[in-house]
Amino acid sequence: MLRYIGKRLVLSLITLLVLATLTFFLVKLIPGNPFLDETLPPEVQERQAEYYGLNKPIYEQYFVYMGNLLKGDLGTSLKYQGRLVVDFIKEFFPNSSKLGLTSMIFSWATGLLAGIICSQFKDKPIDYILVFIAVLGIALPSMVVGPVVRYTFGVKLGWLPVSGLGDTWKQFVMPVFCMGIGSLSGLTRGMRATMLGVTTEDYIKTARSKGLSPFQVVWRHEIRNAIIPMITGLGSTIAGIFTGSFVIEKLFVIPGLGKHFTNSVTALDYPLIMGLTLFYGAILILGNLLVDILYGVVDPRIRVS
Amino acid sequence: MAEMIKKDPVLSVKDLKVSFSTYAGEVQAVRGVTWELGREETIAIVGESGCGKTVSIQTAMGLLAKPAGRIKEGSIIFDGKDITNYTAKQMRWIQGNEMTMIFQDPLTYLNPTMRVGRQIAEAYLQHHPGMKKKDAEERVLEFMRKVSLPNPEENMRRYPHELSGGMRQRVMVAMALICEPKILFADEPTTALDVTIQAQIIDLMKTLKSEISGSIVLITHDLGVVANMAERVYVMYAGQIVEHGCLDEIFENPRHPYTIGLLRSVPRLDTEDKVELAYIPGSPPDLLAPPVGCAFAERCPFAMNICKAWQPEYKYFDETHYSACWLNEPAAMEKWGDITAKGVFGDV
Repeated sequence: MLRYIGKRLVLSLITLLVLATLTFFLVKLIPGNPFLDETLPPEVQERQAEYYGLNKPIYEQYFVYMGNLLKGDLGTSLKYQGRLVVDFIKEFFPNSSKLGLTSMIFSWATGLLAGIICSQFKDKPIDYILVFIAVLGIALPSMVVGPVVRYTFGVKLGWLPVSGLGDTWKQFVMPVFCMGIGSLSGLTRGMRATMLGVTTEDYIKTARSKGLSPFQVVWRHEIRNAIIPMITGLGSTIAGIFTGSFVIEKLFVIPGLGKHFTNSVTALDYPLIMGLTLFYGAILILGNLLVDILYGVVDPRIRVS
Repeated sequence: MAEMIKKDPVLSVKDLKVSFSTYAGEVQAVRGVTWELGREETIAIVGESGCGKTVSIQTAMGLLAKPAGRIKEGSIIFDGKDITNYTAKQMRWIQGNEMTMIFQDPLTYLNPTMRVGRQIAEAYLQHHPGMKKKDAEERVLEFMRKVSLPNPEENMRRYPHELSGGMRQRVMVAMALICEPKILFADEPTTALDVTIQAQIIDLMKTLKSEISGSIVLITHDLGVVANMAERVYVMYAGQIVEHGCLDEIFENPRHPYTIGLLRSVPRLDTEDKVELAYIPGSPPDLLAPPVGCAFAERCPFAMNICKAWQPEYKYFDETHYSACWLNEPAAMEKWGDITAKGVFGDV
């Protein structure tokens, strides 16, 4: 098992190097340059480019960047003068991850539960209601759900604080809900379908023939088998939840990484784009590794010996 | 009939009718069957796929898929109690405890994500509340030894996919017998196994049956297995029992053309090369609209006008042997002579 994880980690490093290379050249393909400003004389712009080494041939820039990267140096921001890319991550990632993790736990717990409930009451009113909500949750993007929720519960009713994160649990409620509703809805529908599939499996007949109650059959025999296909979606959910928080962070005024990621692209802040992309890449890779390990935990048939 | 030989049956099913509601209409899967199971007896119910044999034992055990399937008529008496109208909750005391079932394919009928030891223990723990985990584990090991599973301590921690097909079926047998049931329903227990393993599993079931003094209802279309295990045989066709008799009576002196056809369809090793395999032409009737007359008339080479118009009644040849066929009437006997002697189905 440890050997397997080790092997996967080595492969992950190679993936990250490829990602770094691709991102480096793709970013350079974007027209314009970070110092383009009509109010600045061309000489100043040139001097700035020279200072950051941006006037060198592109392959040379690449080797310099990769060399620094291998030393663990992600460089400094071009826009926020003198600020290390690492500092951005250190300062803003904790907020993003707090929000991301909470909403992931929220969406998984509620989504799976709702899916199980739907499957047990198939074609009954509660099933229709939950499926209807799930369809809405999938169809409505967070920039629609967010303002509606914020206006209703934050502004009109005044129940919940409209901004910030971390001072009280109340600040979590709305952002976590708005961020998790999409994947929650997907999970509800997915879990409903896999549960209904498992119900017709032969081993459920065996379980029933033992005189188990319907609850025991569901709890002991159905849920674990129904979760297996759901785990596949976990890897991308992890990435989605960390990167997709731009709208939510903006809306609820949460100082997270999402804003900087988006701004870095519009400002052509090369080192910041590169650094954050690689950082998200690493999270995605770790997420997928975690999913593969989890697979083995849930399904003994694909366990690595 | 059967009451005469077996007094005080452990299970008796009387005139049972079971139907399923489908989009196409009502499928009459079981159309009035009566059978009995004596204490410490093995009976076989044979017939082709879709003849209602599985449905009738599932109904007896309270495992009918509700609400699509329902008992329309008839009664099920288990151990002196009428369980026909027992609720699902009441049936749960019987299921897995006094009546258990083993199934056709041990791989798909075992939970892939649960260790086999736990799966075996489950029914025992369920029906012995307050049982200590350690004692239950002892019991599991005892039964794993009884079904000759090698290294029980090690194998009880394995998952089904880590065992061979034969071992898995042994797990199923251990699982079904751990509560020492009064009745074991075996729904095609050997169909998914290869031949050498089949014989082992049959021997195992026979030995264990006498050890725990239970009865077995065997469902199969493998007449070799029937000859090996059963004392009495019920032949089912299109949701009805067409013939019943002791093992000898069915194998040596079959009276219903369907039974004769079934027996003739068993591949033989002692025939010459290139003899065409015998079969019964045609297919069973649609149970959405069962025929008014004898259900087998469409495929029966001896069919007469009356067969398609009226259902034949049971006729007793002796205390145990009876069949439902118009050929049992003296007039038909005159026309066809002794059909069992005619041998080949097609030559009529």
